[in-house]
Amino acid sequence: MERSYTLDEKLAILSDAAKYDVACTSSGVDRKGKHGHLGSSISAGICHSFGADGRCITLLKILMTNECVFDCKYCHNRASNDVPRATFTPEEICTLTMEFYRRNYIEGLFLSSGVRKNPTSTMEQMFQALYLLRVKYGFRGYIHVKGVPGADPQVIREIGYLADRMSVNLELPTGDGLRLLAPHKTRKTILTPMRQIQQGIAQERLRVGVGEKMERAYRMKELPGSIFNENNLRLQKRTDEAILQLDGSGGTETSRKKFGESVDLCPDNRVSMSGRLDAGSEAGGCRADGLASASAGGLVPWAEDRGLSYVPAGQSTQMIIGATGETDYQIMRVAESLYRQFDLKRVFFSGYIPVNEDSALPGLDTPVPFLREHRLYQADWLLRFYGFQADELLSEDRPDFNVLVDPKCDWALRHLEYFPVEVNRADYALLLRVPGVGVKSARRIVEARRNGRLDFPDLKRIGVVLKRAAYFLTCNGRQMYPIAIEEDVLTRCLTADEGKKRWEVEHPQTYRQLSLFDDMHLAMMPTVEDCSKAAFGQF
Amino acid sequence: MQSQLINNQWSDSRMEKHRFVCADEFGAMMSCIYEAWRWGNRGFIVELAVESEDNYQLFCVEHRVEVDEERAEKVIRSIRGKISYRALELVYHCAMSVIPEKLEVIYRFLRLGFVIGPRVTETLTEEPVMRIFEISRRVGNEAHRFNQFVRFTRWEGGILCSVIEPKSNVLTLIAPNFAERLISEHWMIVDKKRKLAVLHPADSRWYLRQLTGEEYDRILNFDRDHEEYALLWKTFFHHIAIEQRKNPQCQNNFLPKWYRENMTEFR
Ligand code: SF4
Repeated sequence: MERSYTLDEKLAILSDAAKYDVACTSSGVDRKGKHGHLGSSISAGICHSFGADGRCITLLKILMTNECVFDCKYCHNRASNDVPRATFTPEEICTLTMEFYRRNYIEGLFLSSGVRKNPTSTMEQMFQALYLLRVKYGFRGYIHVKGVPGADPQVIREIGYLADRMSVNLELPTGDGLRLLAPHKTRKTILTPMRQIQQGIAQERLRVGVGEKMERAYRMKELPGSIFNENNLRLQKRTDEAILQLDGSGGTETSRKKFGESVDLCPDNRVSMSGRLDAGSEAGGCRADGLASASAGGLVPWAEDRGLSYVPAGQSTQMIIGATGETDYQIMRVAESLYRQFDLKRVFFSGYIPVNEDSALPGLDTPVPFLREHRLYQADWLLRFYGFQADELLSEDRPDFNVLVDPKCDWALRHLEYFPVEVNRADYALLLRVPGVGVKSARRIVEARRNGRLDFPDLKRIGVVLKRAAYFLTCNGRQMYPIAIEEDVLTRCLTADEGKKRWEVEHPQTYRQLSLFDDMHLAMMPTVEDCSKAAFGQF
Repeated sequence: MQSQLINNQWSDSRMEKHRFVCADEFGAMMSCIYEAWRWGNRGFIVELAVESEDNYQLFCVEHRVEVDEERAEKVIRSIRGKISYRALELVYHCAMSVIPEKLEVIYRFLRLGFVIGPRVTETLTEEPVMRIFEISRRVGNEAHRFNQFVRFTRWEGGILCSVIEPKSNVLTLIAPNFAERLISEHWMIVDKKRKLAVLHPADSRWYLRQLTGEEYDRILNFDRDHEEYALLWKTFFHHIAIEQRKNPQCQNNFLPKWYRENMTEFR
């Protein structure tokens, strides 16, 4: 059934098949070069090119195979589609990565895959490729690998030592959505490896003595309302678990056998991955005592001997927006719960792009929901860097984002009781909530006002966007314009400016797509995680 | 008023402007600073510039300064010692710029720096400080872009070679990045306009070199577009974009067109 293709044909098929994955970052890990090896990694990440869709190209993003026994309705590679199928050998993956890296085309590899035979054997093959790449070829660039839902915990455990980042796709915001569109995946088969990876990361972090939870920019863990604040994390545990449809006792940690369901889990797999590789002698140079079996959280001697660490750049996920009927509120609550309970580094949103005709799916002429995706990312920013929680931005009664103004302005307009804020007195948390005041400006204000009272020209110098902030601030009790702080007046002032931006976001072909940073007045990228980082690297 | 001033210049040599000119190269620039500094201290009006075609000026005495390693070294040491390492970094970045008045900016920045000390890099309200930050940031950004967009081609013999046409003299700024990641590879990056190259033999230190005409011709004649991996890369590049999200405006923003001439995927 799979015909033989040239390397070029395979690359065409398997990059085409991988392009819908949104993450493209190479950030979060610093690794120096080493004699006899190839590559290094810098924690800010580097983009190497920009495709015709304006997305950055950082990693060689490919599927290992687009053969698939699953039948996710939205996916081009689903079992029921008649499409050309191709598979890379581990050697081919290594050669492409090494040769592309040498030429400075890429920062590393993003390896995902369709499910060939079953999840476990698929991930074993991915493991083989990565093992060759890291150990035999000595590749020190960035590696992002997908976890396939339903794969044996052991391979998840061991492959994590070869990767910098792992991600398991949530696919759809709710379990119902999954049942409808991804019948071979369940919340449990998805959240189980996600939990396992989280625990692996925590264990590794404790081992090297940096604290169990991932770092968060701008000391967000200390901000009282922040989703990364330990107190909130505990308080919200039950709610979050309900939202993520975990059973009350942390069901994902119970035996994996229970959720095998339609998935062949290879339950007898108890031989260490590298041990098996040795048996096939493909990798070479690997010690036979690697055979000592590793349990889902146990030691992995071959990795520890080499000083490899477990998923050092953390875990991310993505979900499709607009294929199923969830509201923005539901989506944001899910994202928030994932950050809180799974300590994810990032949650990505992927606006639904129709590729298949199917009664369960939106029509083929459905436009890509650019603006919706944009609003969700803005809100995600507010969660991660501004100390907002999903419940403040949306509610059951107001379940979707305002198309006219960004979520931060929208919040401010509905909470005029907090405004105007006196720049010389307001605390940091409140300053962060003022439209037009970014993270960096807020920090600078706190810093600068120690040396004297601030006035509007000072704010301008600090980087506050007065065009917006002016309506919400006073300096020494004075407003910049004599204007009533009333919702409809302010809405009019603020939307005048938003109109053009909105149009640009919705029509990317004709206008420059606004970057998040313009919008959020972020003078500085908190962590350079996003594709758009290159142009903003200087701040 | 104007004529009076000129008259004065002729009558008192201290009122004359002394112009110090040197090659567009860091050592020469530092030697030039040294020389101008001494004249400046004696009360002469000085102006500094790097050589360019149209820098002949009326009403001033021109001094051509050649590179003097010892003096350059002294200047560098004083900047680091009496001001700060950060200041030296700014000076170096600024010196790599194409902006004609860069040397003048450096001089005025240092005049201030040697009075104020390390704090000079915080006094952003001072014009020379603002200027040096601005110029050095621009150079730094360009260097960052080249870290992203440099493309190598593999020659027979295994050397990785890249040709670029930067505005600023970024070679020494980007070399450390590649020395890190391509530590055990032979590679070189050639600045087409300046006929300069940075060379890195596998597992050793990189160095800078002015290319001979013959070397230059050989490098430019090398086919960069039909290598197997160049073709594979183009395949990847075209297949990874999503048709429904096409956004040329965004692409142009992040990757301005002038960089593309030497990038494999756009050739
Ligand atoms: S598992 Fe689902 S999403 Fe992944 S390749 Fe198969 S059908 Fe597509």
